[in-house]
Amino acid sequence: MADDRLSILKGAMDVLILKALSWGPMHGYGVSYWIRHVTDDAFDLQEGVLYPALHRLEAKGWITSEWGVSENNRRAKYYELTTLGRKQLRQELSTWTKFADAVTKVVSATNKPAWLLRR
Amino acid sequence: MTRKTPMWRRYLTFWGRNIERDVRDELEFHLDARARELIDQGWDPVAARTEARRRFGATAPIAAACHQIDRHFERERRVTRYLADVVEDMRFAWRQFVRQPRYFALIALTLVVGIAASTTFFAVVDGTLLKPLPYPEPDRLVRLTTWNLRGEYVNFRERTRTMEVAAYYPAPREVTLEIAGRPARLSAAGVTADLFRVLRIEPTLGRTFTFDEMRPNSPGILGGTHWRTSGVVIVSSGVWQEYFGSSPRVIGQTLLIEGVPHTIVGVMPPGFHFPRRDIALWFPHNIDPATLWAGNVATMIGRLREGHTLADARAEVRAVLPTFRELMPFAQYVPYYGRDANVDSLSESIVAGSRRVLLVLLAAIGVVLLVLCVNVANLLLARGIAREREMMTRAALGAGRTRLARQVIVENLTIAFGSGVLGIFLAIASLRIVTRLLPPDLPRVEQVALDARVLLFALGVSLATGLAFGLMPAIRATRAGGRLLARAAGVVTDRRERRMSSVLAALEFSFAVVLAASAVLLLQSLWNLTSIDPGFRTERLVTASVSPPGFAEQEPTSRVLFAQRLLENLRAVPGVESVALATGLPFDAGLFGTVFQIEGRLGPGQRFGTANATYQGVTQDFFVTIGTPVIEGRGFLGSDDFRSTRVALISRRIAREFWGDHSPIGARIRFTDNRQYMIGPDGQLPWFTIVGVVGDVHFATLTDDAAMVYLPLSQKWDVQSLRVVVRTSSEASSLGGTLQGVVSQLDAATPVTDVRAYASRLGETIARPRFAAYLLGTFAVIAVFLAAVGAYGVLSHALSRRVREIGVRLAFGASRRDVFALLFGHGMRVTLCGLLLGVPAAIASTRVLSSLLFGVNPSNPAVFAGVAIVLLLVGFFVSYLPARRARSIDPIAALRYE
Repeated sequence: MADDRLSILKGAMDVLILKALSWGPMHGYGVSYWIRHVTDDAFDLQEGVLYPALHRLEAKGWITSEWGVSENNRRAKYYELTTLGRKQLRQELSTWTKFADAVTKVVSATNKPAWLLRR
Repeated sequence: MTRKTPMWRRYLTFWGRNIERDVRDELEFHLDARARELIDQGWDPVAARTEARRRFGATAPIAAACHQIDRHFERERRVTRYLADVVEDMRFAWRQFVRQPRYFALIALTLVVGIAASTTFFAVVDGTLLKPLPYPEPDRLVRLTTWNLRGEYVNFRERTRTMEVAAYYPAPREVTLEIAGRPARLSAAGVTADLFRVLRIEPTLGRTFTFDEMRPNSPGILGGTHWRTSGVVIVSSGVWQEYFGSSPRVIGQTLLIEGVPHTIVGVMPPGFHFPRRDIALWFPHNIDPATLWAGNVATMIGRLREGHTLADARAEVRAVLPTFRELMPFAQYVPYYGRDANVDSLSESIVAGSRRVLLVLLAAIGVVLLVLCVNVANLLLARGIAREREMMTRAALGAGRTRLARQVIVENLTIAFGSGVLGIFLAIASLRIVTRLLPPDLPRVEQVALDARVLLFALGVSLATGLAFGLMPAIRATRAGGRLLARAAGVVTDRRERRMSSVLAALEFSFAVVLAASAVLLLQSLWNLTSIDPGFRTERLVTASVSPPGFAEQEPTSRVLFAQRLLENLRAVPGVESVALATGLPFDAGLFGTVFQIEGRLGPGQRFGTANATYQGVTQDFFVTIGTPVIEGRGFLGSDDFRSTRVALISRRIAREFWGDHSPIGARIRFTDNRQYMIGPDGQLPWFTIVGVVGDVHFATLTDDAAMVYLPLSQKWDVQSLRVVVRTSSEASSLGGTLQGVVSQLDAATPVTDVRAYASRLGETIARPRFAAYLLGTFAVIAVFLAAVGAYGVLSHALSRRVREIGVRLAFGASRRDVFALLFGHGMRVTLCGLLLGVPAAIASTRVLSSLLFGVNPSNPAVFAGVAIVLLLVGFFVSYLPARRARSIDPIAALRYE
């Protein structure tokens, strides 16, 4: 069951991460925290799933990483959007908005298809 | 140009290497932070930790996934970075070239010449020696060394289990034919029906011969009984294109060859020219059961059958061949028949004669390339020293050893490949010239071409030289860091570098000695060859071939008549001082070997009572015309014709060998090899009475044994075509047109071909040694020049490095003489070391040449002494110039230097 959600969310995950990082450099925990709070924990994801996604985005060159020191003085890996990542985010956002609008329209539709009316 | 360095490059060293640890740390951080968050919400610390783990999910698969992504990423990144660096290095190298164009032009020029020279000669060696024969599975083709009798072929064909056997007529000859109304001469070969199958070559059009066609049913048209054909012919692709416009209707057309109609049954594919590159026609080889054991006219090749080796074939031939004696009509004459039979690889037997020359040349190229590498290495080394500051700075700024070394190597490879590309263009041009200079008798010359293999070689050479000369500077670059410390500590020393470049210069000298000594030996040998007396005077001597169609089949009387009328007409031509006819001429086609017996000496003491000689038929003015003296007895007379007593002349060489101080005049000899058609009406071999002794004439090469027997033209049976030899009254007269006119008056269908001055014919016989000597001479000059340039470079560089030292010496009271001696001594030491190394190497390596030399002792001390003295002078000169400059150094300026 969790796997189903995962596959649906795989595409969404990229956008979520990019969006999270658009606020500034953040470590993995920060990204996960932000997503949880913004969505009110709606996704109820296994938090670990985030990390392969982060590494994948880094390999794609959309984000880079750097080791830094966290708020409580611990060594933490910070991710940052690259120019390429920013561009990608803009593109994905518009796609997402269109997609979401379309899905919303379909889901909330109230009129029957025309050929069914004729019958 | 400023480019932002990607972020990952900055932390690459500490992040990239610990993928596992980094992932563990990252995940651990998450779990800790999550647990803390839960604790802040009021969870119990232990429970918080468990809850954090639960919400995170299984760590192991997540970590594994991260590892996989990171490793892949890392690899990709490394490649990208490497390529980026290489491009950067190349860009840097280019900037260096632009900054010092003259210096790099010098290096590039040296390399271009070297690569072009080696590529050109590799193409020659590859085409003639290394490339496999142009037939399928060439490794399985073999050549049989036997007596080349047709009977052997017929029996082998039926009996050999280890191979398929085919045969061909070993001496291709020209035939007269009429194509499109004009007479032409083309080279033809007789081949057995299975030859094409053994070679695995299919005709482009039509078919090959059948075994039935090897039984002649038409009159022998090609001269002599060996050349009867059955009226069919296969033509080459060239003939098909030139005379038939590549028309597919060529099959079945009739060609008039030697006046006899022949039907074209096949066209061979382009490039097929077995057994020689001028062959344009193939006839079925005549295997007449009546003449199976006469004439050595069936050279055999074979193709090993599946599962059999060369050794099997050899064993089989050696076992089978002696049993043929029972079949031979003259077995009593040949007790040792079959003893030295052999089977060899066909490709090896073809190139056996030229292998050594070409390998020596290839070795010479190798040495030139080595000298070249050493020279370039030395130039780069000198520059490397000058660049030390740059390298030290880079090292100080944190460039790693490998990074510095790679930069140097990329630089050198850029030079090498750039030069390689230019060198290939130069090679294309020079190959065109060299193929024209190649000795015409070099087998497989037609296969010399600049193809993919040769290009690969050129690129390989570029790469190898680039690495060879670039390695030393690269190694030095890796030590730049270490030297930085040495300099900082004040330990300034150039000693080691100087020694290194001195050693290199000395090496160049020693290579130059080897090449120069080899070249001198070959040139000396060439000189000996050209100064041999061929036995006749070549000046103003012109020769030509006159080949009436079907001449060999005419009655002897009509042949004699034709010859007499031809001679009379030629004598009347203005500008002809003297003229004669012969069946063959020295250094020309038409001379055949024979075996003769001396009457009364057939006892067991003599080797079969026979001896080998070359024989030919000549007319009475022959010796006067070519300028060979009759030493004893008389020459031929007009009265020596086919009705009179048979007479012969022998060369002095034969007279001395068999009669010693006695006179051979009056002794009788007979010819025993071509007995099938030498036998007279009484069923006996006829005896020829020796009437005179003439001067020795070399017949094939300037080093052969000059054992010659002459018969009157009118008493020789097997005359296939005539050679005209004319002594003209002036050098300039061109007889070609006149000769054809005279001959056409007698017979319009008879072509006159091959009209040439004798001197050029003679020149061709030494084409191979001349080629080798000139080439090696060129190489030697290049090597000596490079050595001189190299040594000079080292010395002047050493001088520029030592200016300060010299200033100090002068300031402390050294005389200018001392300073001169210091540098001059350095140069002479380099030269002497080179000679000490080079002379023994030359003595050792010129031994390889001994088989290529004529009348020259390969370990002649004078040669080595001479070469050593010349190089010593060169060394003296190149040491003197910088030393003289050192002498004029102003000490004050020198101390301020740098």
